[in-house]
Amino acid sequence: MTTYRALDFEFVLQVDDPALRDYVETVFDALVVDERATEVLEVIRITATEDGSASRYDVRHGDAELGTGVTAPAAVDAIVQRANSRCVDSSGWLSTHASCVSRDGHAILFAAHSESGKSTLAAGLVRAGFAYVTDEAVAFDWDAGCIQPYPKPISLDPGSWPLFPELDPRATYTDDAPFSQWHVPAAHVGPGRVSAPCRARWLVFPKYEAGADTAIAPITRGEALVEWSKNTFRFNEHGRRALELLGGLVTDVDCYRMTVGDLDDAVARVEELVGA
Amino acid sequence: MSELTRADAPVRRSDVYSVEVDGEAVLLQETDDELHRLNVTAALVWSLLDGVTTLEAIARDISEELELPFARVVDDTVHIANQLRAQHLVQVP
Repeated sequence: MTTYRALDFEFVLQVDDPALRDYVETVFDALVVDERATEVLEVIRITATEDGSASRYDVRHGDAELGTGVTAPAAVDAIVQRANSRCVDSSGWLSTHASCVSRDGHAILFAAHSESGKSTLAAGLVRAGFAYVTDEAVAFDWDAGCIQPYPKPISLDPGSWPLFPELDPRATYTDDAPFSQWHVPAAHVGPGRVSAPCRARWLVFPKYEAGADTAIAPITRGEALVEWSKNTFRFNEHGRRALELLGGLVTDVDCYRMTVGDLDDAVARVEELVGA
Repeated sequence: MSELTRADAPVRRSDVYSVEVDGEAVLLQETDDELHRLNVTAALVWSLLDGVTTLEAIARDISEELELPFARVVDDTVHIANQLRAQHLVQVP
């Protein structure tokens, strides 16, 4: 039975529908692990909905209902959301709301709230050859501040779909139900592999502005530390322990604010940054 | 609440945790989880607020160390201390 790991959250998927199972296994392929680290077996089940409605599914994680009578794409949404929430709730890591790629062991974080374009940016950079870390939660270990990859499928909103026509999941999974997001494994996006554990080297706060000129500008580490903290999950709960860790990490990081008006321009700016 | 004067010796509140970064400071007010960023000047003053040393003495030290006019430094120091107090980051013992 295939085991998946999202940071500390290990789970197996049981999907009755063979076609949906193939699709789901492809989507979560980067989370597959050879051996389980925990004894507890958590099972996420996707079963045909009990009333017999065609192409409708119930999604359960143990006793929790993640979706009832939902479409196949919505079932995948539910699993992604479950994995995300378990990751950011883990006390074993301090997680920043950010996407992240790496090159030569040096990580570039794009910290921002939802719908700032950070997943799109990560996809563009993976397509350009960067190694993929995550598009949702950058997890730092408490001891050394090393980043543990969480290579979930990259979740693209409809506004980004025209930028990645080759990633349309409907090409491989035929279902009439509409997608709210495309969940794309990084291996389908580009040549970049999944990153090994790495260390933060650049911290960028991106903001997508339609029609704007793409530009990147340095900011002070103090300004970055405040914004980094505000973009860190459960920061208030961790308090000074979190600020102490981020305060130590930020001293090794170059910090920028980036306006993104065009994906290709943004990728080029990041390439320049990393190559500088 | 009266304004602090140069004769006062405010102290950093114990529920405020600070991290210094490139001369700036980031403060976490733990009672309300508020974050504050202090510029280099304010961070320097903050670091010297020990509840014993008066603002005038702090200003004199800064003035001598940085070779800046005392009159300007003491005005800035008192102003910064009042701002920190207004944000509940320091108190007068």
